[in-house]
Amino acid sequence: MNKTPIRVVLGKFGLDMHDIGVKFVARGLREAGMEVIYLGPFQTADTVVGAATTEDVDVVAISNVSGEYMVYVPELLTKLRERDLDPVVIIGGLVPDKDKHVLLQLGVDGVFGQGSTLDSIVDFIRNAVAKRSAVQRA
Amino acid sequence: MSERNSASDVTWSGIPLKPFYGPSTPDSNYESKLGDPGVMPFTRAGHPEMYRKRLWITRQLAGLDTAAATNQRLRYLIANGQTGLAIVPDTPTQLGLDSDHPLGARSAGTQGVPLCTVDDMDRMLEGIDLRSITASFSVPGVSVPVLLGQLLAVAERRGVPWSALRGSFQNDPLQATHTCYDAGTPLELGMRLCADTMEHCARHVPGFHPTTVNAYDLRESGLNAAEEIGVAISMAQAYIEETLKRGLTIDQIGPGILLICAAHIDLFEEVAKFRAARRIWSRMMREHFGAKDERTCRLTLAVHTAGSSLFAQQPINNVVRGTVEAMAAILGGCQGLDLSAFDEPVDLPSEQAGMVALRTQQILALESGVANVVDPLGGSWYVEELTDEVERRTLAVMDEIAGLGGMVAAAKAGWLRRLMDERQWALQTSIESGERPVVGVNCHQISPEQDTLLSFRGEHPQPCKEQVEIVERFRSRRDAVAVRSALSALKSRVEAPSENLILPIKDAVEAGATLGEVLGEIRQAYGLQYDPVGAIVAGSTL
Amino acid sequence: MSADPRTLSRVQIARLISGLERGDTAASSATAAVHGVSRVIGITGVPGAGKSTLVDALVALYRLSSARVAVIAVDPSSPLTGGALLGDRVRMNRHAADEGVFIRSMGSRGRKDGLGPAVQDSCRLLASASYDPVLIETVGVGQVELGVVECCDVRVLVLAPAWGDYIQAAKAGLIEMVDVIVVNKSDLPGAAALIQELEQVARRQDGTRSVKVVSAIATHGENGIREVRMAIDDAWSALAREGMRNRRLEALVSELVSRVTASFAVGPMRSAVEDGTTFRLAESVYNGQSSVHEAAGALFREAILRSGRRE
Repeated sequence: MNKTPIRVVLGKFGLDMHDIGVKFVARGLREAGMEVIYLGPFQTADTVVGAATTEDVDVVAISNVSGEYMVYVPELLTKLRERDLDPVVIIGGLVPDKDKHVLLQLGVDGVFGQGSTLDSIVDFIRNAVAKRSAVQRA
Repeated sequence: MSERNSASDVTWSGIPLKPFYGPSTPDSNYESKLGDPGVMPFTRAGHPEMYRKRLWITRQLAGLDTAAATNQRLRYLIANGQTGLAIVPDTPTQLGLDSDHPLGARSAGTQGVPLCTVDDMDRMLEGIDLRSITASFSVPGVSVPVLLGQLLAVAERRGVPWSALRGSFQNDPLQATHTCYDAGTPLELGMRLCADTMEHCARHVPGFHPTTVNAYDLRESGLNAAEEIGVAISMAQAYIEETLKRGLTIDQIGPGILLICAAHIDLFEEVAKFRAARRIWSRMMREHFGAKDERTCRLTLAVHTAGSSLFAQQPINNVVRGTVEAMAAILGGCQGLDLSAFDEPVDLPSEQAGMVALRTQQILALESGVANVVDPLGGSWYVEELTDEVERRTLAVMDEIAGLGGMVAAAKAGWLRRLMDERQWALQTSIESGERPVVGVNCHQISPEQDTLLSFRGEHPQPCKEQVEIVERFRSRRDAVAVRSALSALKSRVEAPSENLILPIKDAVEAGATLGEVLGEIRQAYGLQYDPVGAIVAGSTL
Repeated sequence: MSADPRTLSRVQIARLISGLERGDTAASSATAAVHGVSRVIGITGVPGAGKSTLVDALVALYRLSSARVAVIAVDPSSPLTGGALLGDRVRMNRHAADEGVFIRSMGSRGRKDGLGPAVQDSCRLLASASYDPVLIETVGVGQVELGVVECCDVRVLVLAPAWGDYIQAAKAGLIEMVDVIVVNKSDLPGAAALIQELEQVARRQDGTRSVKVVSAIATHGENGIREVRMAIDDAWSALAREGMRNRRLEALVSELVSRVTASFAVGPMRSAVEDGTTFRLAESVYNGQSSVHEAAGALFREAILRSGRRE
């Protein structure tokens, strides 16, 4: 195993309790060779940024079924920028099209609504991380 | 507009129907394994007449963004003839957090009604005669004793004796442990509060079913039929054993426990499961716990059709799935039924989907005849053998749990968590791979362009700022000295492990303590972190 | 790298650690050789014993008197896919936003002794950046968990009743090597019996080492682990009075051996397998042309030659 695994921080904002989907994603990303730092529920922008900092992650992935993400995501992006951190940020779960546009405009890299397959998430992450490191090397 | 509330006693063509059918000369095998409906071991049904007497209760869940708004909705439902009210508290309340808690404020009132203070409970039930309704609260975790305390305080304010109150809680700490609803509360504390609630209701609020063991969410986690009821009944055993230590008898406690099960898509297996559950329950009550009253041995089964069996692709198919599952519940003799809305995989139920769910039940009840005869599948060679086999597997699961020292020990050791993770993964991968056929999803699919309703078109509700203000005003108006004094009285009762906490909790909420403050005080007394998510410190709200 | 590690930001430390995991030699040279005054505490034990909950409670306790506390939590990487589910910090969420706590999750990335490729270097880096204590939570999968011996001053083994952990740990020889054994979840049936059994084993030591057996209920937070904290502090004080030098030397010896063995295995031994050298030697044994010992000797000399060429 020579390639350095992609590191992903994965959690849920606020009080969203439905964790079946996020656990499925966690396991799937692991099967795809990534190191998944699972944070669980009750995350705030501060806790996610704290984790992203010390874990030096390539990806921040948030899964939410309830709508709280719209409050937390802008804070998350601001705090990441303040600390000069630039991981790939993806949001998954129950996201209406309307919110999807807003999230992408705010600077989220990818949004994965209901019915997204694991494969599509894995492919997206691999491509996005590769692009980021190409940019960093340049 | 006429209401029909019972099943028919003739077929469509006019053939008269007996209430149930059985062997002309029942032998000892029949008596011991099946029994007539309403008779030990209750395999065939909990009651002799079932739907001929009364159709199962249809409830619409109510829980809007403030107590006042919910009150309007409840009064509307009551005016339209509903007496059974199913109340869903919002997520902060479920977790024991106040509406103005840093994380609570961001989801206050969005997925149910906030019941942060005794005034919230009072306002929600304003103008409603507590004696004439049944209020069931969908709350599994530690908030239960506090909500009970709020309700008891409100009843006292109105001069309604506690013995006149009717309703239910979930009160299921073992389930809460596995779904994060018990955040920051070790099982030991959860079990104590659960038994306190059960004891208090057995002694003073006999019209309340304090405990509804949630087999449904176990099934939703991927467990199979036998595991669903095996684990749930083992959980019920744990609650009973804990409460028996308080000096009550099984006949005082037993009737207060319900099970809420899933109705999944394999119709015959589900019917067998319900029948096996009743048989196992009655034998457990009589033989293991020594119940003397037949009512104690009768399992009350509420059923919810399985949300996890529904899919986003070709959502109209979910109407068919819901119908099959509702049939399983009816043929299996449930006493209450909730149908998942067909758009559940992508959204909160729309009006249309809610109406379809209701009509499905009414069509099944009044047009199809499936509810006309009790346990119509009884006597089928297939169904009887299937019932026996499900029972055998369920008992094997229960034995395994008993071998680990009981459900509490098994949960603490991580047994259930591991089982759920394994089953969940296996289920999802079997669907993604096509091994488990799901029409429209992994076989007989249509292209996304031809499909409908693939994405969540609705809107997420905004957190309720008004509720945050309501709680802030409540804090500023209350007598802080009285609150502190009541909380400290509560604390000293917590420290005496054999004290039931319901009355001191009621006193504390009556004095003006909020949900978060009551639970924080209890947690502190146990040496735990005050706030389960660590966002606020003790005393900061007083 | 000449910057004083105490002035490094958390981001910089995190990136250095990533470099160490990748094997960047530049990053390695940035780490000091010894821990200095920082306490390095290793926590090992089988899954399900509640290690992470225990670590969370310990962090809370130590944080009361320390400005910087670090945790390195190691979980197994899949040998097939290389991926890993690093879930230990779920139990430590309350510290995630605390700037004084540095939590780093690592995959074992092929190592079989409970550590990851950069645990010791990262530990030294954190210690030199004034993190004290540094808690290392190692993988516990029932294999020989000697990694904890390689890098920690105080070694703690966590067991829980009802899982026969004692047998596994005893087989691994761990009982003899640790300073503190914690029987966690001590409210479960069987706890008292397990404690008794362990105390008997602990007493059978030759007298120069004493293993303290304590009980805990980590889910009760700081209250539930007081005995653990005291036992760790006592073990540390005893070492500080006498034995710290030996212990750290022992650890360095172990680490040097591991590193060389690893690089030997990665480079020359692997190439010998890949180009058929090893296979041909095996054949010669099978055909009766040489003994196993002769073949092993030949392979060893070949590997030395190859590693000499690589340097």
